[in-house]
Amino acid sequence: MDRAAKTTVGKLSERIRLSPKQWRLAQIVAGGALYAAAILIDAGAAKLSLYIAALAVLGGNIIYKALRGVLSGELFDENFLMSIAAIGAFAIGEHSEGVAVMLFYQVGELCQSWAVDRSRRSIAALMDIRPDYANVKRGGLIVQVDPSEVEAGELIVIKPGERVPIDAVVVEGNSMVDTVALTGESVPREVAVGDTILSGSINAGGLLVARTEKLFGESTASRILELVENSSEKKSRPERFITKFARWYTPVIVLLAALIATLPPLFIPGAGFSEWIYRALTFLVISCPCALVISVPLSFFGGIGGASRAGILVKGGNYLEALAKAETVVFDKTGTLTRGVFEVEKIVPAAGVTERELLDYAAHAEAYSTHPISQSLRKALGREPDSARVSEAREVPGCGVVAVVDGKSVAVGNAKLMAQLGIEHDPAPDNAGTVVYAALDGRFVGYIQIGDTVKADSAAAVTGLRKSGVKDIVMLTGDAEPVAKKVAAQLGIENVRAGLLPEEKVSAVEELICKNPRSGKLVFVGDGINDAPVLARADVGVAMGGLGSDAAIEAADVVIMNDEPSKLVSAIKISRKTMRVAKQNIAFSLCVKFAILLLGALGLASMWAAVFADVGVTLIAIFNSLRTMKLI
Amino acid sequence: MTKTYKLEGLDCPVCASKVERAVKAIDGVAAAKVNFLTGKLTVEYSDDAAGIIQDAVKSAVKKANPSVVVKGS
Repeated sequence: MDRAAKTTVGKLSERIRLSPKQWRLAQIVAGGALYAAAILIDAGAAKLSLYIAALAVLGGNIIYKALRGVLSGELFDENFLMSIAAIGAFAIGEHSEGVAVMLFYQVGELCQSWAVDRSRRSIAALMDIRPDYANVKRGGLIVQVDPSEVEAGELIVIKPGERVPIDAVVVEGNSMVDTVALTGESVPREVAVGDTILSGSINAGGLLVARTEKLFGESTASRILELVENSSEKKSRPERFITKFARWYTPVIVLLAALIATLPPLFIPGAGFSEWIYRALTFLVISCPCALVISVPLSFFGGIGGASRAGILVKGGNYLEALAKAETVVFDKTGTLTRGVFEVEKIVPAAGVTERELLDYAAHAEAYSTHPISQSLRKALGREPDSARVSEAREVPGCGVVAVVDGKSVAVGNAKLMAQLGIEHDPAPDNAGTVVYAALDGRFVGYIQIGDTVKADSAAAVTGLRKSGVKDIVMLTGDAEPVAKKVAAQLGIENVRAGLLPEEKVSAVEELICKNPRSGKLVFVGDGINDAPVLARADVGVAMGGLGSDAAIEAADVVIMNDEPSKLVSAIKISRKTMRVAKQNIAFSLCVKFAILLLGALGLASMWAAVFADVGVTLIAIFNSLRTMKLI
Repeated sequence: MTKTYKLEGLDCPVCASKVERAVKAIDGVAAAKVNFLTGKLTVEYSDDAAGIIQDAVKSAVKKANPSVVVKGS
């Protein structure tokens, strides 16, 4: 045969090759037809041979697999037990039952594989952040390559509507990027030259050219997918229970079946072997713990997938379980409940001075300073200070700045500076937080109150947590008590520990854990940058603002991708729903199994009904577990 | 070296662990893991096995469970 002919033949055979599922369907249709024919035909040799043919078509490959399994020493293999059940039924003359067992088993397997496939696909769709290709600029051309082939430092082009393949910094163009798949945040973010764009987000505006900062494998999308996929390794208690249960379930059922087949006929007068063997075979057909083994881990995986869609990464089923039992939530203040950025909160001019004048002088005096306070003043001013107006700026360490603005001497700083310069001033109220006083030519002109503003949804987070049954909400901070108290009062948090050094935060959390009843879990929420030891000590360590921060993703058990503390409320809701669904699946599957066992032992359940019920339970449990990925 | 394959037709966790054992038994494979929920097989193998790994994995999986199909990474 020449080469062309060979490839044609190859293609043809490829085309007619059936997938495993299509094979199974063909088996079911052909075997089912033979079975129907056997039932319709009146007794005789033809009927029996049709039954045998049906069994061969439906169960041939299962019996073959069973034999191979036995040879390699696997006695409790599902194929083996099904084969015994079908052949056993044949042996005691229940031909129709024997074929029906195989028929329903095959139908069940087909449905199950379809259900598992569907579940996998819908979970994969939740985490649809994997970029398929990257457009790289190489030698003046733009080539489309696999993202994993792009080096760090190369230029990539992201067209409108395309997914950002690799974490990169924009060098040309500006646009909007949609990070909904990463953060659950539906409002697109504006990006311009110099901004970082993260893989997995979608370019919702114009053409962008960007320089890659990392390799594909280290980029945000790959890391998130890896975390979620590996989350199934950290198992929750229900999952561990199922694993243990599955190990014992099959052998125990087989043993029971053996006892039922042998003991009653031996010891009960009048009990026939074939009747009790039939009852024993009913046990064998439900000896697979499939419903539980598939649906319980799937419930957790669905919950973790749904959470990741909402911008919450959960690193394992065990953390989801712990979140569901959260009784104490400890927040770090700065960067978690507050934005972690200083902003002008209030401008209080002295008599005869306008707010604008006060801010203008203060911002100019601080024009040369890089202190966060001066930055907040500049930001409030709304423009860069005009440095030509400033001369002789001098920093007074720990106190403030003295400068000449428009030829006038301006002093800006704390109460200590005012005292040093001998300037009389109206003191700000105690709870004002950080205050800068200003004096013009030795005369007090007012003060500006600066603070770290509370995030818009912090209060909602606190009420949401209370509503969902969290008993104790605590705020820890390194800041001084008055500032801490003020923020806490704004949010309705009563339990505040202020002035803590980083290591004192760990011991504060330890104390709270000891105080807690054993079942209740402690959740610590921080920014994930300076609080790694606390995150590790808490039952569940939650880091905020994980998007783009490798340190936060690394340190925490749960990562909230954006800056919203209220996501914790969603996380707890998802975790509770997941636990509920997992428990439902366990209870439901076990109840049905025990009911069948009981009815089977009493001779009230037929074999095919048992298979049917068992398959039904599996399917219902799988679909039930998919509910966990839907957000509440 | 590490390589990830996608497994199609992996319907039950028991089959998953069978496939995992079969792949682990291949000469030159240091570690193998099948994630049932994602349907992914991750194989860690020595550099010497790089040439044969693809075929070895395919035949091992086929032998362990004929209805599972190995797709490239």
